[in-house]
Amino acid sequence: MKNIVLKELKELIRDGRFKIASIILLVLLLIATVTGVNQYKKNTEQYSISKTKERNIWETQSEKNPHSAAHYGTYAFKPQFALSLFDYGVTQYTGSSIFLEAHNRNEASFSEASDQTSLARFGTLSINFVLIYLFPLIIILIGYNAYTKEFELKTFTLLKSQSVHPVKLALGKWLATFLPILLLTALVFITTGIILSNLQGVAFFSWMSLSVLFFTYTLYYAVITTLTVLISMWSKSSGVSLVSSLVIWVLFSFITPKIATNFANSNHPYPSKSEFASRIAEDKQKGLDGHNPWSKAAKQLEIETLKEYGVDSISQLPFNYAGYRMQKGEEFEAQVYDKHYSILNDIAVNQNQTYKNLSFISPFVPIRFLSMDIANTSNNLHWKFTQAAEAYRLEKQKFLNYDIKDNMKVGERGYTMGADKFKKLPKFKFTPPLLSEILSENRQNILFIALWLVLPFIGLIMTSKKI
Amino acid sequence: MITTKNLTKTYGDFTAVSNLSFTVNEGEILCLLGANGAGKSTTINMLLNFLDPTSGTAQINGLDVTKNALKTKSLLTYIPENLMLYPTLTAIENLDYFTKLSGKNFNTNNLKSFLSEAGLQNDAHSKRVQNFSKGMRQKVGIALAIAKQAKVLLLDEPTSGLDPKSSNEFINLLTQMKANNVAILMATHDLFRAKEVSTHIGIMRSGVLQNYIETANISLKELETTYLDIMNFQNIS
Amino acid sequence: MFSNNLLYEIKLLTRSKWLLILLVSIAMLFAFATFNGKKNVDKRLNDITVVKKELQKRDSVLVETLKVFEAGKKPDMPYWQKPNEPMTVGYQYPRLAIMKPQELSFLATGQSDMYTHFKSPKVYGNNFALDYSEMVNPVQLLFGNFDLAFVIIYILPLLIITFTYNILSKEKELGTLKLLGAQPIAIMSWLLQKLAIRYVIITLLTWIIVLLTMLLFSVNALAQVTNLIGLFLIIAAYVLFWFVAAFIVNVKINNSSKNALALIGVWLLLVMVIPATINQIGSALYPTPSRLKMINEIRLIKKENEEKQNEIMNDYLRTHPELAQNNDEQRFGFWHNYFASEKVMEEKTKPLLNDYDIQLKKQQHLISTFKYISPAILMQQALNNISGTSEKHYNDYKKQVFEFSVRWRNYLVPMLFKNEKFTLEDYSSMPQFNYENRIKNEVWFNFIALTLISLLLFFVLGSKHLKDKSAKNLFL
Repeated sequence: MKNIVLKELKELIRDGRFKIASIILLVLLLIATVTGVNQYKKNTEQYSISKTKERNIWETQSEKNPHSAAHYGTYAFKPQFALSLFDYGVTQYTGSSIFLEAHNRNEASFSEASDQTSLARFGTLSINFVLIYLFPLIIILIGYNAYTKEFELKTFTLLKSQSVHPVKLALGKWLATFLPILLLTALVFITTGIILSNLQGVAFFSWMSLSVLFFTYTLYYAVITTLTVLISMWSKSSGVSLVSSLVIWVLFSFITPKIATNFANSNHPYPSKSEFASRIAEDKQKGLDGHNPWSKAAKQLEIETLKEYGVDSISQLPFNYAGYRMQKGEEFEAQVYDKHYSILNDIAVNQNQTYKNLSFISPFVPIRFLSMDIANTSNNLHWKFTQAAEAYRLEKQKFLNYDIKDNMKVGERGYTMGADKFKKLPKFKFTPPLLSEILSENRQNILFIALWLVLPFIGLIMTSKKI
Repeated sequence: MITTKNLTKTYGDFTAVSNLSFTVNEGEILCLLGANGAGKSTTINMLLNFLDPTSGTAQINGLDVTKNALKTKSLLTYIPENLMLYPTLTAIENLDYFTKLSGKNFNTNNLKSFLSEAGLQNDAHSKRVQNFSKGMRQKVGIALAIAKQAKVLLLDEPTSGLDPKSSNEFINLLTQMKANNVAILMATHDLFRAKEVSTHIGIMRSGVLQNYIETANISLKELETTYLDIMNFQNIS
Repeated sequence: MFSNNLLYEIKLLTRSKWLLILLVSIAMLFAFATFNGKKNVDKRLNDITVVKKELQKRDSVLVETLKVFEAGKKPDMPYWQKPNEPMTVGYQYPRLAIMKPQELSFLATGQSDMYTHFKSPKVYGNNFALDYSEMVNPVQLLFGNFDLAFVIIYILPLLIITFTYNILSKEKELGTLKLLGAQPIAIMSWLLQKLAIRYVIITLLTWIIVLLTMLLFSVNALAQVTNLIGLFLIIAAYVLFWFVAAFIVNVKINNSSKNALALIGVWLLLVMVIPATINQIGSALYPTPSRLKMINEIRLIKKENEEKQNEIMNDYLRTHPELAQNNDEQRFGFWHNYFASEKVMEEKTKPLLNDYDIQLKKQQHLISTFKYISPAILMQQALNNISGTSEKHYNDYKKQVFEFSVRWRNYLVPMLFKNEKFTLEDYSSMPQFNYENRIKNEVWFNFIALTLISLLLFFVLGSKHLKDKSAKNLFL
């Protein structure tokens, strides 16, 4: 079998097309890496500057009432994760900053894509772009005539008349198609790893995640290799084999994901922003508004609180009731937001599930999702970030409202809070999920990839015996 | 009438055809014999204007083939070693297509009669040619020559791969064409058929016409000896 | 020769399965894409109807309450909800600025999945920096839509490639080319005729299918005659481009597998690699300034503003004495202060925001230069333009909304400062927003450009072969 692999590789190296294609890809990878590293550096730098500046703005704001400070608000910034250099994922389409203020849960604003032209919709040249779209084509280029050339040159009958076992022959062809791409991929990942471990201020880089990514892509290439060789076995001529493999590639990487978009959209439609906002406003109206002591809910709260502390009037309470009510109002509003955002997230999860369910047509889909998740650039991660920001917002509100509750005298006007207290507000921190968590969330994707790996391979072995 | 004068084709240092001069008159068949690479096909390709001669001239009915490519092509019919037709078209349709490309226009009955004349059985006329044997396809080629009223027939290894019966039929067709005053040039390996059908035989080696023989003056045995002598000489040198 | 070629080309095509496969593929892909596009537009229209209904609901409350006020009664409501106050109307009853889809919007999703199509600019608030993004699952934006633009830009060339990659090489490999070469015809014109016939077939097929699918899913679009002609022409030009590519590859390479590889290479380059690379290089050359930085700066301005608010208000009053003449100083104090600080904010942040527009314009400029390198980019621009879903349309919509917000403010603020109440009569004379498509669609220009590019390629790269009418080198 070694003999078969060596013969195929020799032929490949002598074929100019492979050389040209590899050189083009390496040039593209170079452009992607250089521009990517630049952007990455810039964004990382900007992230840490913005974080410090914003914290400074918060801490040095003029003395004011805690609730005014709550309205004054602050920002939560999404860190730039190391592997975003490799796979941009959906980061272009999600904002990376959230304004945290009283009463309102805000969306992450200012996505990169809205500052770009529609050219961005063709895709962005990143390392992942080359790896997920173009590398499979190299496999097709190498493997489409693995068998058909033997048929066409009539060398196949000669081969069969030797005592070579057909399965060994198939495995040899398979390996010869797979090895070059494995080598190239390893090169790309090692380079990426070296670059990342030498960059300044890289957040959350781990060789482990990178290795898992490498493994993921390798699996995808193995799937594509199997299919290419299998198609070559089935085809009568090289032309037909090439065209069939390319059709499969287009189906995998373009048609299926796009069709999934439309399915997802019609089966699980998003509400429009204004619809969403008015649903929240409706629910908010039904409950406690920290500013409005006259509403039904506010009166109910007053009665309950008085009962709990066994006193007759709010002035007898051991704390400032206004601050307490403000906090209760905030908590209620947070619940409303939580409810609606959970509904929204459920829609997103269902939509993503629609994509993932089409994995049986295209192994591209599970790979794409897995890659984004591992690189911490997925929608899933963005949701976790917004949840963390919301939790922090609530923590901040509590911190400020309890300052009113505990420190402001009843009926006092003009109570303010100073810089020394603003500094006591803990800083916002966000840590991405562990690799093991990510992988266990992606069980379904992994299962699909495994199936894609095994089933066509069985087909390959079986067909190899028949031809 | 086919005429070449000092026809030469070189590729860099390599000479494919060297100073080739011969004439094939109407009603004559010249068979070019020689090993692979002797220059037979190159000669035919030059006559078809598929290749430009490096020097010398080639003429069909007195017209230079490079200067009057289209005119000369309307006078000749070419049957390559493996004559291929459009598999999804019928024999009649194929013949119709090619005769029209030659500027002729015949009705179906005429086309059928040409095919019959070329020896293609009637039930095959309206069948798609995808399952035709080489011999059947060649008959369509001959029908084309008949339809075009070709003055010149260029044949490249027409009998290789034919079974003896088809081969025999084909030779008979050529004899008929010869009787109709067509000038025929045929490149072949088949000494037996060459002796059988030709009026003249040329033996080529390394692009050079080594021997030019009137077929009537030589027996098959003598032809074989001469041929082998020339080939062996080549091996030694 | 032509009628003969035509007859037999059609015969050959109908007898091979290719034409049928092609027909079925085009029909299915186009129908599905049109259906999807229509669905997206329907969702957009549906969302618009929902917000319109909501506005009507709110408006009827407004009108009812105004009637109560005008009847001289005092309804029981907090002072900040009284609709006879112009500011209450301005903030709580804003008008809707709706961007209606164009009749051909279903052609290309363009940027329509990212942005909202209705906005309610209020009398105060940062109307110059409204967020126009729509709620959407970013995964959808990443993968994109299966719309007609996708089918035309990505898939149609692939179909053309499968239909033409071996038009000459197949004859050579089959062996018929030698026989053809022995006929008294100029093989180059024979090839060109064959290509022309296939070109007409594919173009007509596409046109007819586009018309049929529109008939099926979007009849109204058929009334857009000029736009439709533009669409048909630009499709014809795009198809022409790919036929020219196929011609050049066929005569230059003339080997089926290699032809296919070369054409796929060209496709990859033009449809994927060049756009992605230009996009990446464009944002490296003209980077949009960081939004994070902008947030910092706006926050700093706000902070300064907060510290200097009193001082600013005096400045503002000095430039707007007519607003200060009212005697109810305490009540207006808040509004003066508010508008003043808002104005200062606006003036200070505008240059910041302008940076984004400038960079975006530069990037656009880059595209309009580079679109001639890749017909795919040119097509995308053209189709987005016809559909009214390009980034230019959305930027212009933003501009129109901002202009409207100024009108809205200028309508209400004088009422506030002249201490006038908002009446039913005012309700009926309120300014209304009307979206106007002010972007030239340039489809004719794009059509001519694409045709010229194709012809230029044809004559420059094909000239050697065109001159050599007998095309000797093709046969052997």
